[in-house]
Amino acid sequence: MKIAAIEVYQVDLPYSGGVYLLSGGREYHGFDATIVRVIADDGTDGWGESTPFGATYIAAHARGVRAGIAEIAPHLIGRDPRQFERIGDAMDQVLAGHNHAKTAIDIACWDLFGKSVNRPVCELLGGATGQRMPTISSIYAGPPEEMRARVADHRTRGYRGHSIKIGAVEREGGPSLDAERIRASLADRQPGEYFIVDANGGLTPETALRMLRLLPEGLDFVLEAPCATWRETLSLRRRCPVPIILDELAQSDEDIARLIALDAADGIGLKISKAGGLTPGRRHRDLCRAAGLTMSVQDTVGSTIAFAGIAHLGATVPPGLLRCILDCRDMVTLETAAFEAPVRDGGVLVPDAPGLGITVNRDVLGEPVACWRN
Amino acid sequence: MKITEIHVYQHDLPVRNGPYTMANAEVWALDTTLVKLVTDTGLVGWGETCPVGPTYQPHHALGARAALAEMAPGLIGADPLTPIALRRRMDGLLNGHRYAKAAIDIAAYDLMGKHYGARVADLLGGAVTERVPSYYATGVGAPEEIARIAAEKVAEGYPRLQVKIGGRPVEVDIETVRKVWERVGGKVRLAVDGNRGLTTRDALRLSRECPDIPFIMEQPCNTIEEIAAIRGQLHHSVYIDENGEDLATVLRVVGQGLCDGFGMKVTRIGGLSAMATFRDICEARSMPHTCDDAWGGDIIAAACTHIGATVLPRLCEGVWLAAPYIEGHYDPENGIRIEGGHIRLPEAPGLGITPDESRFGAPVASYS
Repeated sequence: MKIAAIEVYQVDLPYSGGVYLLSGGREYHGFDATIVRVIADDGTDGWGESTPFGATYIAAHARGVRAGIAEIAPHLIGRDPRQFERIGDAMDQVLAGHNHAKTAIDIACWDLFGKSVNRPVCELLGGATGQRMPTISSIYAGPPEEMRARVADHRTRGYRGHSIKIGAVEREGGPSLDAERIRASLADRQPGEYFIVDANGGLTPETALRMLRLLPEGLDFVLEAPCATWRETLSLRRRCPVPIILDELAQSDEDIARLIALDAADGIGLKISKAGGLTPGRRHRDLCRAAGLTMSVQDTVGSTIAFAGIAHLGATVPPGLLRCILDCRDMVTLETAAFEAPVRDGGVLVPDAPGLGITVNRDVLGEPVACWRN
Repeated sequence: MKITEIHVYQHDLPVRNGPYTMANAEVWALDTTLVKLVTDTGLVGWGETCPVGPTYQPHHALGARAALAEMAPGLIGADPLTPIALRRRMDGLLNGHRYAKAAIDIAAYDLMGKHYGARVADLLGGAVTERVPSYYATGVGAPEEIARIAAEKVAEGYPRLQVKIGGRPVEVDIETVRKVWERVGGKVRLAVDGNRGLTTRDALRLSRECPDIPFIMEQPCNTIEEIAAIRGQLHHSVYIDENGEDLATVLRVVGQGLCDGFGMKVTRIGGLSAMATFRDICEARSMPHTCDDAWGGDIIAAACTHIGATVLPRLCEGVWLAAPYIEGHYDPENGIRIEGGHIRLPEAPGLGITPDESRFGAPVASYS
């Protein structure tokens, strides 16, 4: 099997909740998705998606995804898409970094690989555990009682994990407002629920420690991405009584190796487009497993195509280490594909269908914005 | 002063007598991106960013223009006379991508200089010399050939040489360093640049087998962790180049004592504002460093020369320019040239470069 053509589509995904607020005054109304179709010489095709969370979350943006693909795509025509590590090498040889651009192509190659052997991607990634994967909500920062209400709403919709966004600057209320947000969001905690308090790098060690001291004893949560830099994170780590999860700082293979070597955290947010696709994502899964680190399998954001990637990788993480997966389908109002993976009885199971198991809704994609063929 | 228009130009710079060879890439032509800021005063400022291909660092020309497209609409109305506020505004529009932001920052300094009637070097703290030392970087090549080039460049007056190694058996690298030193030993300062291409094993061997040659070892291995692992066993000083991605990383490696100096690139660190901060951090700890860029024409060359002119002479490891590999100049009269291994600091306000715009063709994107 050889890659005969690569098509790129651009799709606007409206945010389902109106305006999404993140620390530092960042706000989002919708997301610019890049969807890639890799077509093989036998006519089968594979699909992948990369949707950055705006342009200020990490050093990734939608225009950069498409610029990166333009750099890479011509060099992949004629290669075997099933040799995913060799595809990864080929991409690295023509463009350093830019994991977000490599992601969509990598996922599409896995989809093709699965279809070519008539097996689901999760099976090629090691096999599904068969356990339902709990999904995590995304509770953007707001007034504490309003956040509590949004947690309750997500609880009724079947979410077992909740990601509570914090990071108030001093003039908004600083550490005491964040402590109130945490206390309110955890007030109605149910057995078995998992809470991430996510600062998206918005705290300093000083504000983090002040916030933690303002909290009552006995709240069960982990602190994700407290600080923007390694130095601050390592400084906080020595003095932090709650588990730390890294997200924005844990992107490349090298970051994961460093996290483990420095014992900088207790787990990671494994976001597929941050890692560079399912191929590096699989490596991160295995490194974390070897080191005893927990994982929540997510993506920066995305539509159903991105969710299919999340679900297939998540399905292969041992349940003892899998904390949650992100059902990003819920964050956007546009459905780019059909994927038979409902949230039911506390979680999601991946369908037993070839490849990613999705049927792409071609009507919403429009015409390709770029195409390369042999 | 307010930015009223931003124009982005794409321009090809073929490598004279190409290709240019590094441990992990060879390049025949570079794709540079120029930025012209037009202001409500009628003054214009020029910036540039030119990755040396897409695999040297996570920078590429298409990505630079994509990043500029992301930021430019949000920069109309910004004040180019307040570079820190401008940088924060860019950070609010796009995370990372310092190499693209650098083009805007450099253009803002050009505008500032023209507005105040001062050279960029003087805005950056003051020139300590009008004749800025450069250094010559050889590509990766056969030992005899590199030794011949080294002798030629020392004769031209270069006070420092950088020999590129890596991507081949370390025995050849060791032979190259030995042959070079046989020809120019004692007459020049020498850097041996692995461009991330050596294993720790080969870096240790290179150092162990050349204890008598006083070179500095620049970016021998891929990661800071690899360098830290062997630093205590090396006979030679270590400079960090590619890993010095931002000021936070510079602070970390300086604070932890992981290197003795830096190769530093103006666009990688984010432009002239960030470069001035970097220079001051280095001076506080007596760390020598260069003021370079990966590639680029007269605008980049001028930016590097202006910041290089402000570095404490005993800490200045020189300004590397791509000029010897580029045919012609954007500004035929004031274009930046290396003569006798040194660069004359331009005299006119701002960067001191007036590019002939007709060379760049029509802008590939304009914002107003």
